[in-house]
Formats: sequence, C-alpha cells, structure tokens
Amino acid sequence: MGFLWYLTIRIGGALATIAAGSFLIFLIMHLAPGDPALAVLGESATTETIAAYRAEHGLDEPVLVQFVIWAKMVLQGDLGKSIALAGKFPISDLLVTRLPNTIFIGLYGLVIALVISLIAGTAAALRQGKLVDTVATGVAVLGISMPDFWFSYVLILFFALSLDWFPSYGFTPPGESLIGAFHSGFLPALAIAAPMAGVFARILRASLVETARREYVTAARSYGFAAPFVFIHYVFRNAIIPFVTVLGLQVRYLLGGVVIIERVFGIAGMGSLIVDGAFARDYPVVQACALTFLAIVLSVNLIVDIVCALLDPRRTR
Amino acid sequence: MSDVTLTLRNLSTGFKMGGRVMNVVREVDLEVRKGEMLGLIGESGSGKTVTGMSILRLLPENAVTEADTLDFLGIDLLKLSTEQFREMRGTRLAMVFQDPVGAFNPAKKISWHLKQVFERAGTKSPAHAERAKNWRASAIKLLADVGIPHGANVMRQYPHQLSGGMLQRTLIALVLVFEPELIVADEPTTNLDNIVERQILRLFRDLQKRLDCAFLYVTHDMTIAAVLCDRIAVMYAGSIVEIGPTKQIFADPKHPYTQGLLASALALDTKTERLQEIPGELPSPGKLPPGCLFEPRCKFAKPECRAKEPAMVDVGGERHVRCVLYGHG
Ligand SMILES: Nc1ncnc2c1ncn2[C@@H]1O[C@H](COP(=O)(O)OP(=O)(O)OP(=O)(O)O)[C@@H](O)[C@H]1O
Ligand code: SF4
Ligand SMILES: [Mg+2]
Repeated sequence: MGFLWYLTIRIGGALATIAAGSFLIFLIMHLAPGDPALAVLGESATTETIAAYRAEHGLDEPVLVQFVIWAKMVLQGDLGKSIALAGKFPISDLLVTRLPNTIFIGLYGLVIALVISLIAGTAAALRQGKLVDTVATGVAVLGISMPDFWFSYVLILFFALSLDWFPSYGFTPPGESLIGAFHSGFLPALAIAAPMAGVFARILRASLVETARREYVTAARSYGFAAPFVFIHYVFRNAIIPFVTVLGLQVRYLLGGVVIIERVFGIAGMGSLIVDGAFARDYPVVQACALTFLAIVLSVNLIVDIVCALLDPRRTR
Repeated sequence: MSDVTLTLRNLSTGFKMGGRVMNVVREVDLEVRKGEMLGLIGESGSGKTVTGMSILRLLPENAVTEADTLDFLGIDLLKLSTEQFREMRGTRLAMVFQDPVGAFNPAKKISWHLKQVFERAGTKSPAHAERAKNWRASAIKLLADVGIPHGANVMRQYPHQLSGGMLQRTLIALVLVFEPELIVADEPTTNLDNIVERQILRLFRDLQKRLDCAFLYVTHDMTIAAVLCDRIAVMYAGSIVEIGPTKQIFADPKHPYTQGLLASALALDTKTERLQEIPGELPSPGKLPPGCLFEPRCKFAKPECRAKEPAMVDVGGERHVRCVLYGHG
C-alpha cells in the first residue's frame, strides 16, 4: 500500500465521519426536549408569535428536511444565524471571534505539555530508578489526578492573586495582541497542560524503557556506535511512535478541558459558546459548535495518523 | 601461544536480583584461536548468549561480569574504560545476532544501516575513509560478498520488507565492514527455515576460510557444530563440562551430558521413532544442586558426584571433561 493511497483512504474516512457525525448532532438537538421558540420568546409569548417564530426558522419542517437544508447551507459556508443571542448574529461571525481563542489556548497547552513531557519523560527513562525518575513519576501522577478546575484555582491564587504575574480573569485574543495572548493565556494553558503532561511523560518513559530493551539497540551498541547516537536514532526514534499515537487520542480530552478552563478564566472561546448556546436552546449555535469540535478532533487524528505513518514505515510501506 | 585470539579465565556473569547476584555463567575457561571456529553448545537457558554478550560487554546494567583474565590479542579487556571498549566493538570484536529481523532499526532503510557503519569505519584509517566516501559502491560490493547480488535494490528496502535470510546476510555484511578479529555468532540460523539455514551455514564456512579471524559460534544444534566447528565447548547450567576437537567429541563423547546431546541429535538424524531426549530439566540458577550440576539427570551418577562440583580433567588430545568418571583433576 502506497503512502498516497493510505492518505486518500484516511481523508475519505474523516469526511464520511463528519457527515455521519453532523447528522447525529442534528438529530440529538432536535429530539432533545424543550421548545427553542419558547426558550427564546419566554413564557409571555402568544401562540401567534410562537408560530411566526417557528415559520421564520423553519422549525415546522420534518427533521430530515431541516437537516438537508442545514447541510446545504453548511456546505456553502453558511452556518446559519443564532436564534437566541441578542442581535441574531450570523454564527460564522461568532466562530470567527471565538475559534481562534480556543485554538490558541488548546495549542498553547499542548505545546507546554509536549515540552514538559519530552524533558521529564526522557530524563526519567535515562535515569531509571534514580531520584529524577521518582520525582518525575510522582509529579506526573499528581498532574494526572488533579481536577482541572481545582488546579486552575491554585494557579490563580498563586500566580495571579499572590504574585500578580498573570491576570486572574479574562483573555486578550491573539488577533489583538500576540504578546497579550501569550501572557493572559499562560495560566489557562498551564491548567490544561498539567494532566496531559503527566500522561504524555509516563507514556514516553514507558515507551523509551521498552524500546531500550530491543535487540536492535544491543545490535547498535555492538557496532560500536556512541551512546547518544544509539539513544537518538534507535531508542528515541522508535519510542516516539507509540507516544504520538497516544498524543492523538488525548486531544479529545484536551477539548473537554478547554470547555471547563474557558469558564474558569472567562475566555470567550468555543467552550463557553457551546455551553451558553445549550442553556439558551440555541440549537443552530450548538450544532455549529459540535460540528467544529468534530472537525477539530478528526483533523488532529488525521494529522497524527499521517505523522505516525511517516514515522513508522511498517504502517504504509 | 601466539595464535590465541581470545582467552577467558574464570569468567562468571550474574544478574542482580533483589540485592544479590545470581550467577548464570560460572567459572568459564575458554580460548578462541585465530582462524578457528569454536562451537559453544548447550540447551536453551544454559548461558551461551550471556557468555557471548559478556565478552562484548553488551549486557544490561543489572549484569555483573567478573573474570581473572579476559585477554584479546594481548589487550586486557578488563582494564578498558567504557569508551575504550566501545572503540573495540564493531571494529575488532563483533557479534551476529539470533533474530535478524529484530536486529535492525525498523524505522530506517538498509542503506542507512550500512552508511552509519561505513561512516564510523571512515574515521579509523585512510583506507577506510576512502571506502566510506564511496560507501554506496562499497556496500554493494560487500553485499555481493555475502551472497546478495542485487545489493542496490536491497539497500532501498526497509528491514520489514526483507526475508530473514536476506536480513541475516545483511547483518553479516555489517559486521564485515571492519574485518573484526573476533566474531561471536549467536545462533545466527535458529530463526531461519531449513534451506536458508543451510545457505547461511555455507556462508559462515566460506567466511571462516576467507577471513582467518576467530569465531565463537553459539548453537544448541550438534549437527551444525559438526559441520562448522573445529572445536566444541559444551555448556551446562553456566559451566563448561567438556571441550575438545569436534571429530574426537563426536567419535567418543566423554561427558554424560555430551553423550545425551549426541544421542538426541543422532536420533533426529536417523528419524528414530522415539526422540532420545535427555530426561529432566536444567536446574534454575537459584537452585543449583550441590555437587555435579548434571547429577539429577545423569544415569551414571554416584554418591561422590554430589560431594562437590567436579574439576576439569585433562583427558589428553586437547580434551577436557568435568566428570568424576574421568578422575578428579
Ligand atoms: N537480562 C537478564 N536478566 C536476568 N536474567 C537473565 C538475563 N538474560 C539472561 N538471563 C538468564 O540467564 C540464563 C542464561 O540465559 P542465556 O540467554 O545465556 O541462555 P542461552 O544458552 O543463550 O539460551 P538460548 O538457547 O535459549 O538462547 C537464563 O536463565 C536467563 O533467564
Ligand atoms: S560427575 Fe557424576 S553426575 Fe556428574 S556427569 Fe559425571 S557421572 Fe554424572
Ligand atoms: Mg541464547
């Protein structure tokens, strides 16, 4: 199987998953109890205003018809209008302001987690059973078992309220000021990164230790290669493959963490948007958000799969 | 003697297990001579691999190796620092592994492996530097020498795309880049099918004639030792129990364990109905019997065999046996 063939199959699969997933999202939103018209117009609405509202937003059509209409619009890049939020914004406008914030915080957290785990995991594996290993493993367990919001409050108390190094609330969008975004996003990113860094570091350590026992590592030493060369090109190079795979699986938890952290730190991102939308029964907004999350997860999985395929010739060649 | 390449005296290797060291190779004396192939024979778990890896210092960190002498062409291997020893590996001491598939970096092409070894060689001498500069051509020539005529194709492949036999030939080629003076081959044909095994054995015999280096050939297969080796050392539970020239050992095995090994090999050869296995099992390293290690399985065992471990006895004709039936040394 050639690499291009592999790529085609994976992209096709991702597109099919998005199609099926978006239908499922649509169905769930429409089967959920509660009338969006009532939620928006309030208890005082008359039968006429409700009927007019339903007609305006196409709520009277059968679900399947509504889905087809929606899907056509989405394919043309039109995500519809919010039905609850004041001003009835086009949802794409909402996404344009919200999505960059979420992606920024998510990537920021991911990079912090990667840097910490690469250093800690490698150090622990190289100093197996020594002090560094014990400390790194202990901290990793702590990072994994701390609840996100609790750790956020600890960070706020210490770095924002006591030391006043970072703001405790609010976020400067990267579009406004990149430096401001890095500064105001540091604590939320760190809060997201902590549990991930713990998981990543442990996976990397285990993978490095396991790979170091392989016969090809002994063979490499038997050729007289220097220890750093053997570590980089034989041990690390092969240990990184399961590491990247697990990393891809973690991204869905990353999104879950983002939803919580955006609330705690008051960040206007996708997480707070989907939560607000759900409370307001603003199903076009929730649908659009869910679709976006799905697209993010699938793209990340796709990227991870491609990276793995490039790293591991046994998968595609 | 000047024709001795490697001398081991009283080599013991163990592994640290919960604070104490469990020896799996004990008090081994061996000589491997220039131009000879010495077979190291014994059943699975007897310590053959550990012996070979001890010589090349390839064991993991929890291993402890001790010896009175570990002499390689006048160099005291025991005195070398880690870095000095690394310099010897590959260049003068080499190893061929049992599982050719597992011995390659799965993420790299065959060409990468050859290139790395040639480049390391290039730093050693002007002649090697010349070969390293044209490493691709040198590699193709070397692959042809080990029976791979279309080396350019093979170099483009990843290890998982090649057969075991092809990989074993390539592994041998990697070892030959430097023309080492001692090659330890650890059951290099065990994972190959019959036809390929025979081809690789023939390759080893050709190499031995061509290279004039010292070979320590590890195997559990008496019939392989018979066709390849000049001398045989029989290992049981980490000790050498018999050593001598192949012909004499086959004609007249002295140690009861050697007799058992030969009988089961012959039984396989002549397709006798019942396989003549040696009854019983290897003692585990933690629970060795008090006297002769083979005593629990030996049909000639006498009370005195349990008193203390028998010493090596010189029975003449370059033969040595560790068994009370031949005296007490
Ligand atoms: N890294 C290790 N840690 C602990 N014990 C080990 C280690 N490597 C080998 N041993 C033990 O040393 C003993 C000898 O093993 P060795 O691999 O040398 O046997 P062998 O004669 O090569 O057997 P085989 O024919 O199966 O390859 C075995 O009991 C084995 O369990
Ligand atoms: S010493 Fe005794 S038990 Fe051991 S092999 Fe000889 S006869 Fe058998
Ligand atoms: Mg072995």
